Formats: sequence, structure tokens, C-alpha cells
Amino acid sequence: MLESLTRPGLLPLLLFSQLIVSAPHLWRLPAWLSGLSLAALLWRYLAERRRLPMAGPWLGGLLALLALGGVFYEFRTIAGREAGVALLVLMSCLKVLELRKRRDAVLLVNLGYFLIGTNFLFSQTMAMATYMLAALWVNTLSQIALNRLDACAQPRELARSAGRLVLLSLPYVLVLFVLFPRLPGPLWRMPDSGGRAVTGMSDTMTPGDVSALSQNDNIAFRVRFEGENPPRGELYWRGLVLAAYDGLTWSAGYTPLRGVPKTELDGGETRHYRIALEPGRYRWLYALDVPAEAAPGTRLRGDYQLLLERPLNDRLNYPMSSLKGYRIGLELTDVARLRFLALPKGDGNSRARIWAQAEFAAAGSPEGFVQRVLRHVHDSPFYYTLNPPILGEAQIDDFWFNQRRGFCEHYAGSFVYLMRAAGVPARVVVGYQGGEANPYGNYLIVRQSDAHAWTEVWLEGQGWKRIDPTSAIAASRVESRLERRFSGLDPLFDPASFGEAAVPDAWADLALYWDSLNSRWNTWVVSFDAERQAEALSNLGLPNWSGAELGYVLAVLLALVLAVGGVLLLREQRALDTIARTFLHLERRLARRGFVRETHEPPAEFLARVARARPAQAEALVAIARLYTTLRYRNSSKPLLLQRELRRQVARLSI
Amino acid sequence: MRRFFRDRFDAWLDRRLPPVPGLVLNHRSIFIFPGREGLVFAVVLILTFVAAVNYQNSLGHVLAFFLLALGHLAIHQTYRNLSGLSLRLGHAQPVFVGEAAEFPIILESDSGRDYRSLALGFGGREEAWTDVLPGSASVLRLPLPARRRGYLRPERVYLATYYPLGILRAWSWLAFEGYCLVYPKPLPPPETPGRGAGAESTAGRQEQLGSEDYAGMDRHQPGESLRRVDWKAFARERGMHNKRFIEPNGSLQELDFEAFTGVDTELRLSFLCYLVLKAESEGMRYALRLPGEAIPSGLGAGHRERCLRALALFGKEAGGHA
Repeated sequence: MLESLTRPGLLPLLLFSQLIVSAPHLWRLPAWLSGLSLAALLWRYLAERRRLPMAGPWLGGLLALLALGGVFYEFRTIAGREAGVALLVLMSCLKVLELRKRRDAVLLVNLGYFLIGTNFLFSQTMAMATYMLAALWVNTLSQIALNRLDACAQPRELARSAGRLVLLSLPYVLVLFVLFPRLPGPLWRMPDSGGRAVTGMSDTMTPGDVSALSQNDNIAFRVRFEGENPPRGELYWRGLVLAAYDGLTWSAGYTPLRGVPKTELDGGETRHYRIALEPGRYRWLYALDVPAEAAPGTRLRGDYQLLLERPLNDRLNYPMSSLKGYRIGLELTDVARLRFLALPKGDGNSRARIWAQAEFAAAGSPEGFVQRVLRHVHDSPFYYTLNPPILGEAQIDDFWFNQRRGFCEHYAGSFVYLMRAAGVPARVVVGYQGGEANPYGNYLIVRQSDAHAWTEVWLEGQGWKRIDPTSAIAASRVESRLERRFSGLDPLFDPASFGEAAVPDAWADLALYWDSLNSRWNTWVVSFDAERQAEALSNLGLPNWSGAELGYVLAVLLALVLAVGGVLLLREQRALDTIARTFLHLERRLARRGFVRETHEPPAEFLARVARARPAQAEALVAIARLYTTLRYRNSSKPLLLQRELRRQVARLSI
Repeated sequence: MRRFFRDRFDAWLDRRLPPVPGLVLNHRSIFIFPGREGLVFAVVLILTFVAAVNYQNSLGHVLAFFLLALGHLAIHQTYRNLSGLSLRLGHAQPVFVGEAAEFPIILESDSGRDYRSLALGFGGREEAWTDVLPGSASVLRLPLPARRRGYLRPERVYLATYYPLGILRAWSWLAFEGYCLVYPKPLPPPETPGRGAGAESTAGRQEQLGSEDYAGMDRHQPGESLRRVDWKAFARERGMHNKRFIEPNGSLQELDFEAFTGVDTELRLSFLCYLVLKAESEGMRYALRLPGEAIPSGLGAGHRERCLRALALFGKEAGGHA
């Protein structure tokens, strides 16, 4: 094997390829660990340029120990996904310090492939896939260069041969991706990672929580309905129900393990749809208000929450159905009533309590009271803003009577407080509201910025009724930055615009198209599992093969590819043999005339020698020599034609 | 045991790939198998696949499939990097015993494709590397120590390639018809050269060949120096003749095998070889007499080679392939 790494450009290429495959990791790692890795690469490069000496083994060992300690310091472990990958990246970058022999380079290149794979544990977007395809190309390129005599002396040709290899492998990948049997579930449990930042909703609500999400345009999930999308005003995506308030934060509080009474689910009309959650860490699932069944792995609780039995760390895709018109929780036990009326003692919101009781008395009924409060929100100078002022000790009083500027969690929290103060059972529901219809994909996009908090009020004879106090704010008092979003695309503040899709401008149109691509990518690539595979096979008109059958089909296909390649080479061989036979025939004829080809004499030179001796046939001999050379040494586009021509000319030659 | 299998393999190889002057590699002559780096690659492939299944990671699957595809393609590509390559043995320059014979292997692209990073060597060693591009021949000279005089036949040539990925090795063992002529090792005879037993000055003829005094004409022998050709006579169409000069110190030497008595044949040949070279470098005419063969006196490269060849092949079967 070619041992030397001093071939032209080889070492810089190896370093570059290492940089490319580890770049996304370095981006993610703590800065000083990335810096350490980059410094190692730079050092080795400068050593190659003879600006620095090679690092000695003691330094390499010291740096490796430093990296090990660093990973432990940053991650508090060296096992697990994040820490393990970090360690692998660091070690392979430090490995370049002692990159001297072919063996080291081989290890580096092979590790490079694996590092590309570990990137996918963190991101599987189209952009990442594209980048990784480029990284694969670079890594393959350095593997080829390692096996080339001239390494990188002919960069174009090198790049082409790597590109050809990558392109040729794409059809394989496609076929294998569709046909390779998908093994179910993890083979073993990996230690939980921990320490990964999770964006999304928390399980409590403090003023500022939801508004923080409103700045976040990331996609929370996508929904595809069977049939028509529901009207926009009904797009309340139920997440958690929060019943307990401590004067600052709303939380679930004690929730009895009670299921939904079967009678509430029976007979109602349902909507069927499928939700594709973006990757994250989940403890509960979302469903259109209100779910009619438990999603896989969840229990449908009495308050219609879908709590997961085990937290999930991934992308989820689940079918759901929801009740169209519903009446839930008609019976309220005394215990439950107490729960939904509970207010913290001595929280200082006495003004709000008195106001609520007075208003309730004026309204005369719970329904009337609800309407009065909503009217109050609409008529008083309540503002909807992303930057609410900081509230004082008595949160509700300060908000309701002084500041009057807030986000949905302020309105929902205060509304429930006022209801409870007047003796009406109420609770906060958090989830998402709305969703953007994508005309390119016939599905809805729900973003983190659609995060919302609303309330449910229990009314005698009607059960829990959804009330969204935020929607009562007058549209003129919605802050301008939000206005665009809420007036045009969101029905929250203007119910009259239901069903009217805003005319998207070109940019928004492009964004929607891009998202539909992403959605397809997520559906058909990222969450391609056994179920999707069966669907894909039936879409392609193939039988629903089992895993073993798929294995056989694949094995046969792979063998077939090898066989076809073999046959092509054999055909080429046969053509060469034909040319050789023709020439041998000519040689024998010439030998009878006393012209014997020397072993060291190339055919063309031999024929030239004969031509000099027999000027009469010189022209024909030169023509034959030219044909022969073309056939043997140049890639002809019409080899068969030229072969026949050669045979004809040899036969015609009179000597 | 190992020897038994190796002999079997060699015998099988001799039947499958008998010695030829040259050949174009094809499926009959190419072997292919994963190498050590292929094992490393396979381990990475399996690890990637296991990780992808364990994390149910779709793009991880894609990567594993890509690596599988690379491995699969490498079989074809590595094989292609030998198939259609033409090799023949060129003419090897004669050497003396103790030197290394150099067998020129001429490689050409017969298929019109580029061939990259080919390793060649005797005895399974990767001694020399080359690329072969269509339209031009590459010549690699493979050294083989010349231990005995006579015809030195090349060992089987090992040809291997790992290109493009290094994970597979495609190789062949080629036997070439051909030889390198090995002259005896020149050794000075114990007696004073020039007057020793083997180099008798011809009695009665005191003239020595030199360039000082003109002493007549000899017919020009091909291979002799053109400096002594009588060009004036040639111009008068009297044929090509050498002017003969008498050198005061020179003498015509008669190199005789029988002159060394009590010395082993090989040693005698070595002495004679030495004397031939010496006479040639001194510009003295010399004749060589071996049992069963006598080479009349002469001088020049052609004469020298004729004598050395006779020494090299003395007692050996005539043969070799022209």
C-alpha cells in the first residue's frame, strides 16, 4: 500500500476533510473544546508547512487528558450521546497531531464517516443532509487521494472520481432506503443524555413564559386533516391543564388519575388527523380541543390531557381524532370543585376579589359574569403586547387595574383568578392556537409562536366551556408587531375573518413552499419507519413484503448489480480479444513473408517497419496501425464499427 | 503443511496462468479480496448501522447504505483498475553475477481507461508503483538478484492495486516468458594479468594493436570502433576496412579456458570474463577459446558481447527465447 503521507497535498486534504466532518460538532461544542480541536488541526497544518515542530507524544497525551477532563467538566459524564460524541470529535481532532503514517490516515478517514453519522443524531434537516452529502464527498475524496500515487496533484480528476463514486452510490442508497427492512425499536437503551436545551412549552405558566415563545418562529408540529381543515377559530391545540396557582405561577397541581367518562366520547362526531411533532423532549402530546382518544403511549386523562407514560426524546408522528362539538365534565365532584376554586391565601389581590364579587352580583349568573368580564376587557384600555411591564407583588391586582398590558398568559391567569374569586370553577389551558395552512402540502403548520393560553370555565348544565379572554381585546390595542400576524392570519381578534385566507405575498409563498418540502422530507425521510415503508411500497405498486422477503429482494438486487457490472466488463474484454485476434492473424500473415515482430516492439512500430520495407502497402499498413491504436488506446464511441473496419482492412491487405 | 499448500497453489497458478510474453488482464487472471483496511471500513459500516437502528435515525440509515454502496462499488472499481491492462516483458540488459538483473515490465492501457496506483514486484512485494494512462506505456524495472550465470528467468510478477478506496485488493501473479543473460562474475586471475596462463601473447607475432604505427588492413567487423575505419578506402568503394596499428605495449591476446589448470570451471569462466573486459578496455584484440567453441580475435562491443555470452552459457543448454 502507499505508505507515505508526504505525497502532494495529501496531508492538508486530510486535515481539511477532518475539519469539514467535525465542523457541525465544533459549532455545538463548548467554545474552548472547539478551540482546542481547531488548534490541533492548525498545529498539524503548520508542522506540515515546517513552521512548527510536530507535537511530541507527551503533549498529545496531555491534550487528550485535558479533552477528557473538559468533556467531563462540561457534560458531567463521558457516556451518553452528547458527551460520547463530543469525546469522539475531540479525540479524532487531537489524533491529527500524531498523523504520520498511512495507518493513522486510514483511521482518521474511517472515523470521518462515523462522525458524519453522529451529526444526524442532532439534526436531520434537509440543510444538514445536504451539508453531509458534501462532507461525504470530501471524505471519500481524501480516501481516494490516500490511494493515489500522485495524491492531490490533479485535483480536478480527483474531485471527479470522488464525485463519480458518490453519484453512483446514490441509486443504491435510494433502493436500499426504500427496500431495506426496518428493524423495530432501539436494540438497547442508551444512557439518557440530559443537559440538552429544549425549546417549547414548559409544564407551568408564569407571566413571560408564553410570550418568550412568541418570538420563536420554529415549527412545533404539522397537522394533516382527513378532509377539510376545521375553521380557524376552532384550532385550539390542547396541551396541559393548569389548575393550581401560587400567586405567581400556574401549575398542574394535584391531578387525580381519573379517566374520561366513556359517555362523553360516545356518539360524537369526530375529526381525524395526523400530528407530526418536531424533535424535542416531550411529556405530553397535543391534540385539537378536545381529543376523542388516547394517542399511542399516552393516557387520556379526565381533563383531556394526553400525558405520556414515559418522556419521549424524539420526533413523533401520531394519528389522532377529536370531538367536533363536545360537552365535557358535566358532573363536577365536590373535591374537583374545590380544586378549581382554590386561590392562594394572602396573595394581596384583594381588590381583584372584591371587584369580581361585585361584578358577579351585578351580572346575576355565571354566564352573565363571563360576558361582563370579557366586555370589560374589550372596552377598557387593555393592551396586547410582547413586552409587558414587570408586575408588582400582587400580580392580578397590578395587571387588572394598573398596567393592563400583557400577553395571553396574563389574560388567562387573571381571568381564571377572577372567576374563582366569584365562585365560578375555572382552569387555565395551555397549548397552541391557530396554524398556517400550506397550500403546497394541504396541511397546517403550527409554530412555537402560536403558543397560547386560554381558560375553561365550568358552567352548570354545560360542563367545561372554553373561554379565551385574550380574544376580547380590541384589535386597535394589539401591538403593531403582533398585529400583522394576528389581524391577517389569526382569527383571535377578528372572528369575522374566519375562512378568509390572507393573500400571501411572494416571499410568504416561497416560505410556504419551502415548508411543504420540509414536511415531505420529514414524512418520507426523517420519520421513515416500517409503517411508512409499507405505504411507500404500496404507492410504488409493490407487494407488501415482510422484512425477510425484503432482505431476499435486496440480496438479489445487489447480486444483479454486481453481475451486470461483470457482464459489461466481460463484453469489453471480448471486444479487446477480438482486436487482439485480428492483429494476431495479421502478425501470422506477415511472419510468413518474413516480418517477425520482436517482443519489445509495439504493434504500431512493427507495422511502420513493415511499411518501410513494403512501400506499396505502406498506406494500408499505416491505416491499419492507426485503427488498431485507436481501438486499443483511445476510448472510441463506436468500437464495434471500428472493429469491423479493422477486420475488413486486414483481410483486404495483399502482402 | 504451509509449504504443501503453497506448492499446490503454485502448481495451480502455473496451469491457470502459464508463462507468456505478454497478456491483457481479464477475469481469468485477476483475483480480488478485501484487505485489512476493508475490515476497518466494515467495522465502521456496522457501527453506523447499529447506531442508526438503535436511535431509529433515518439519515443514519442513509449513511450506512451509502457506505454499503461504496463497498459494493469498490469491488467493481478495483477490479476495473486491473482489467484490460496489458503487460509484457521487455528486453532485460545482461548483468554480471552479483548484480541485480532489471526486468522491464511494460504496462499499457488496452481498454483506453486510466489505471491508477499499480504496484509491481517479484515475490509478492510491492516494489514499484506506477499509473498507466492510455496512449503511453509505463515501464517499471523490477530488480532480481543474479546469483548464477546463464539465463535468469523472471519470477512470477505480483501486480496489485487498492485503488480507489484501499479497502479491496485486486491482484494477479503473472509469469513472463523471457530471460536476462547473466555473465560470470569477473574475477582477476592470480597471475599478473596480460602474462598469465590464460592470456598468452601470441608467439612470433610481436605486434600489438595500437594507434601508433600503421601495420596494414583488417576487414571491419560490425560493432568495432569506427575510429579505425579506413574511410578513404571506403570512399573508393573498396569495402570497409580497419586500419591496423601496432602499439608498442600491445599484443594480441589468446584467452584460453584450458590455460587455467587445476581451477574450477566457474572460477575459470570468471577469470576469462575479467580478461575479456580488461582487454576490451585496453583496446587490445583478443580471441576466446572454450572447449567446443572458439571465437576468433576481434575487438569492440559486438565481439565483447559474443565472448561474454559464450562464457555465460558455457556448459548450459542452448536455448532461451529470442
